[in-house]
Amino acid sequence: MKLLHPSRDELRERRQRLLESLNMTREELDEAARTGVLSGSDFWTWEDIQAIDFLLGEDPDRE
Amino acid sequence: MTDQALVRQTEQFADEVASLLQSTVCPDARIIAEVVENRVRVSSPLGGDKPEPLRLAIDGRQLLNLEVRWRCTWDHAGRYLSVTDSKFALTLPHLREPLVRVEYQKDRSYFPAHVQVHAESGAFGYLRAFHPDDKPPKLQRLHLPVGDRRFRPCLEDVVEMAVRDLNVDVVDEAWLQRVNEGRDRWRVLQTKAAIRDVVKRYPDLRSELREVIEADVL
Repeated sequence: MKLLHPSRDELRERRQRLLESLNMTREELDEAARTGVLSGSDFWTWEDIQAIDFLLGEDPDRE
Repeated sequence: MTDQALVRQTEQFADEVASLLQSTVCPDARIIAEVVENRVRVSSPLGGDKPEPLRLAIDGRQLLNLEVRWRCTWDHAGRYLSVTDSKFALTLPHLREPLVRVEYQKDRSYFPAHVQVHAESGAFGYLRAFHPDDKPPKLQRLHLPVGDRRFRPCLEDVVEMAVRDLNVDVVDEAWLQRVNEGRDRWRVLQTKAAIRDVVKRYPDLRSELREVIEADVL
């Protein structure tokens, strides 16, 4: 088990890198996730981005 | 500022997850825990810069991945780590396409604990033809309710399903004992929480619950 204490800046940088790897804006990504069209590794990258939102306290209310 | 008690509980939780997986279906399992102030993420190291899937073998061949993720905060009293979201998914390694997802979202307005199956169904396809939307939901968009908040499936259930129904290889013959021990601990914790929920919502039932417990003990 590995325990990490990432800084908020590190998390924001990681989130930006993940978004760039998908070649989508955040709005496009959220829409793709909402309509269920994300597949394969894109789905898990979206999951990671959401987890970063959560760690930063920036997660929206979700259905 | 991160509370050290939160860090300790996070370490214990993540160690338990790693130990369960290493002793049952994934001897090389690595688990990552990230703590930022009062928020915690515990997961298999997947999807980030250095993906390291939890690999499951069937008859010696690595045919499945297992993805596990929890998001946690303190509970309302600030005493225990409380899960706000969890996700367990069995996926195909190359596509990373899920076969099945077992999810929990504490604040979801309906079916906080649910299973989503990624599959095709002729019967469901027929039903979709009558859906009023232009884009009727696929089977994987169905949220099959399972156990509600307190009695949702635990990771041990997913491990056992992988072994019994998908023939995933086990580390040794003691795997089921480890699954049962972990599941028993989980069920006891959840039962205590469920009783607290009932008493909080229906205070008049407190004495009735006590009578039931004492009658069974005696």
